Amino acid sequence: MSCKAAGADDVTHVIFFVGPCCPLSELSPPKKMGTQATTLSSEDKKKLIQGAFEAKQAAYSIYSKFPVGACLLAVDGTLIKGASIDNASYGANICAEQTAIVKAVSDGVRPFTGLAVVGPVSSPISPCGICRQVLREFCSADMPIILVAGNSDPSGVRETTLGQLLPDSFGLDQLGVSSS
Amino acid sequence: MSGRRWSQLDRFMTGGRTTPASYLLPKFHTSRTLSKVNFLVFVLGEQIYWASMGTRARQLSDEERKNLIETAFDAKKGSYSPYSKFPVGAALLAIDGTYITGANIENASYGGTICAERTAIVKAVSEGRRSFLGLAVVTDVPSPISPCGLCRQVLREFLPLDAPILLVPGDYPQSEPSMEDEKKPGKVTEGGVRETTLEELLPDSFGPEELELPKV
Repeated sequence: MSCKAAGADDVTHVIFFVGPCCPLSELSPPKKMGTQATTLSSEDKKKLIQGAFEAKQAAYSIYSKFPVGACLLAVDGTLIKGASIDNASYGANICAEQTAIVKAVSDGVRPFTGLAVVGPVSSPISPCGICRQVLREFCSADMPIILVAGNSDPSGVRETTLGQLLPDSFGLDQLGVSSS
Repeated sequence: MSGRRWSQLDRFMTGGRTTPASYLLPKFHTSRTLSKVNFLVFVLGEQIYWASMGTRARQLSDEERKNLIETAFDAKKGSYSPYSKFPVGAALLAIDGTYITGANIENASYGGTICAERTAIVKAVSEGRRSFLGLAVVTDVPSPISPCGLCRQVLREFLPLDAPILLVPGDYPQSEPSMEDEKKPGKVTEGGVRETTLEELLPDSFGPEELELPKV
């Protein structure tokens, strides 16, 4: 799988803003969850789902036998794919959603407007709690999350949000509260 | 069998050995023939085991609730949190009546940090206790603080989905608990404790059942 985001093959340079003109609001994590409503066009949804299926092909899941693919859509339109990567030391496993997030964030790509996840089974699979926590750091509570059945059945698509999957989440706001 | 879990599984009688019964759990998760069974007794070697799938986890008695909260405060004293400066204490109540403490243990390599809830779970499970009645979590913050997603996932492996989780404010007992926040799961109970469940904190969770679903 290419490290470069799909659809960005012609991008040859990345501009970083430095100094006092740095748009801090773009670099810092989202301050509040659920402040802005986000919706995905049907075209974006299609791209995300297709990206998740493509991502799954790169999964390394020899122990779990449970390949998962994920695809993130960044506000700039970039699609970032991620697959589950198992490890002989099971604790070192990384899920598809986390792969996508760390690929994107480490390349300076954020924030995000949508996520699609596809597993190897004929029903939509939900992200695990660890992925929900990782997503929570970089995605807004109302960001659409599309859970897709592994058999490409259009009826096997379920849409939810991070706020629904991780209610009353632990994040920046909780850490920032002054101690008693 | 999604949504159904063997909420209690333990030895009915002990024959001297300490092998826990719950390692057999995954088999029951996937057995379609057992999907309508609510109670099981089985013999393995010299031991008799029982398992029940109740509709609701047992509620805590007032004494258990009080002990669980006090134990969580005690547990917090063991916290090692020089980086976050955010000490957390957790207490689990096992079905044999044992209280297991846990505190958050940070690490200079931040990824090596383990939260209080997971400390308690791994202490308990590694010592053969896998069935729990409830959990309490407390921090220094004067409001109830929720477990992070990692802890919710780890708890989900062992704690019944409907077992009470007590989120205790650091200034417990609050004489005037803050108003009910309808956006937050659970309800505010005595002393400002927010009482919730894993079902509410990790809806539509990914667990052992999902791994066993037939592949496409």
